[in-house]
Amino acid sequence: MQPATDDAPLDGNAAGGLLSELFAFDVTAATLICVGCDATGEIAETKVYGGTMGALLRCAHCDAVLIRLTRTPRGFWLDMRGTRSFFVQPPD
Amino acid sequence: MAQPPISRGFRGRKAPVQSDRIPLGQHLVPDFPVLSAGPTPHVSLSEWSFSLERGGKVLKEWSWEEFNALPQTELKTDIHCVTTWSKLDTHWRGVTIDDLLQAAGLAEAPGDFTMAHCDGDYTTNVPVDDLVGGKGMVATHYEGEPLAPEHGGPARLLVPHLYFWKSAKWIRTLDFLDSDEPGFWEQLGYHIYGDPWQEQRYAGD
Amino acid sequence: MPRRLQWQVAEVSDLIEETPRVRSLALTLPDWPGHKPGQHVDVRLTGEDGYRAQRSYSIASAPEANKVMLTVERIEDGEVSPYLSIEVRKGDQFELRGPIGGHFVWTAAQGGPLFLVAGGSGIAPLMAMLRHRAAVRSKVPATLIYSSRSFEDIIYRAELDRLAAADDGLKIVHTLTRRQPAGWQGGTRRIDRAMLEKEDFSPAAKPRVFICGPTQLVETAAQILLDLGHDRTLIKTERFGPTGG
Repeated sequence: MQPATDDAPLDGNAAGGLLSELFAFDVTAATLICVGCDATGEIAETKVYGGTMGALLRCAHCDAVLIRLTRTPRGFWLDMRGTRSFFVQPPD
Repeated sequence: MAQPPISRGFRGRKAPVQSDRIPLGQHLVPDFPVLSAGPTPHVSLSEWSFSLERGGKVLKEWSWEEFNALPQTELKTDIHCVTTWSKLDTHWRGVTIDDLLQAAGLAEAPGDFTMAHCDGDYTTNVPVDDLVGGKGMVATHYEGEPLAPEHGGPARLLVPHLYFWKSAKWIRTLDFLDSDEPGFWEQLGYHIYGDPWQEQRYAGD
Repeated sequence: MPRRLQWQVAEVSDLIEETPRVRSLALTLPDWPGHKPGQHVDVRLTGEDGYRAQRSYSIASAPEANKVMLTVERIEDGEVSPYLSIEVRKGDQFELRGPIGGHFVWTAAQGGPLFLVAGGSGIAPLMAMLRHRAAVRSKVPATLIYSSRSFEDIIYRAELDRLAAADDGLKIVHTLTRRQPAGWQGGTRRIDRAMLEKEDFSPAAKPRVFICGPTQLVETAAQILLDLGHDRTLIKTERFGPTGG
């Protein structure tokens, strides 16, 4: 992931590569509904924190954590408790 | 499995010198990288407080003024981040956990484990044995200056003998527990303890 | 058929010095599936001691060019960009995976009008869109507002001039925020409401908006366009970080 200061976080595009290691294909255009504020947005619009420790995707409207994803030598950890629903169209 | 190609001449920003003060897999860096789980909280000092708690009960709470009136300790130490950067001879000032317990009138810690709770909802767990005996403090100054917000100011936990994600930024509460529970990163596969000298980066290491 | 992204070995086949601080790299890849304008790749470097660093870069070439070109700006104290923009030579290798990105994408088939806003090296993915638009001879009207520090820092300057000269449907507006050459007729300040309003497609035209560059520029421009009444779902942004890449 790019270096960024946490006050100017990158957007979900920066987490696209890591997400694609777990999901079968690119999910940056997937839509999420935030449990915190009910806002709907695409993964590409979320704010990404966590640096090289992992991808923490926060809602662009209320900063609630939507998705947590880490990759460890033993496997992936994915926490989506902050996401009410997740919709993605597979690529053609 | 094929080896990744070596990119000729790539060295990154790290210094080439290695020493026995640098754990395996770590590299020295000239700057102080910022890594956060969320946006930098901005708390007014008049609203800030720090508390020791147990079972939902506040054992002792300090305002910013009261906190800074506690015995101050200066510490020179090395720090090691799980993302592989290390810094040697960093200077900190704050209040040791020993002094906090004493100021709270506690002869000993009310539990064997702790969970640090921070602004922004970050948490991390540290055993009491790794905080007392001078091993941990709540730090308010770095290199002689008040701790900058992006580095955890006004106050962060400092437990330098463990990986730096345990030195929780923006700490507000130290909660004493009877058993060890995983905090934020520990719930996502990071090591429950995090000793850099045993390279305990991830659960199972 | 969905395709899993894998790391593959990219080899540098050509280097182009775009500006004093910016260089483009043309890469050959063993198994490149093609891309859409706006997508990016992850680049991973491994040093001799095993030290690794990873960054994302937008693909600057059009899909029709059948190659992957990255444009890298040298960031002072950067870790990867000095290596890619100064050190790297033809024949050098690094790992790459992609293309990544389904959100910040425009193809001519999507229609327009097309409204592009770029700051510094944020021009890279938008250049892929303009190169694609030219390659398919699209008639979609397009406007680019491009903010650079100075005349010498305008990336792809000559090519942008040529594209605009050859196509009445393409309008390019430059603004130079730090230094302007004598006789400069273009903008002289950071992108603001007056500039966007003037060069704008009206919200009624429902332009597809793509904004890319330093975080501050992206957020400012996006907010202005929302305030002007543009449809939130038609504004797409990509942040390059505080220093632009």
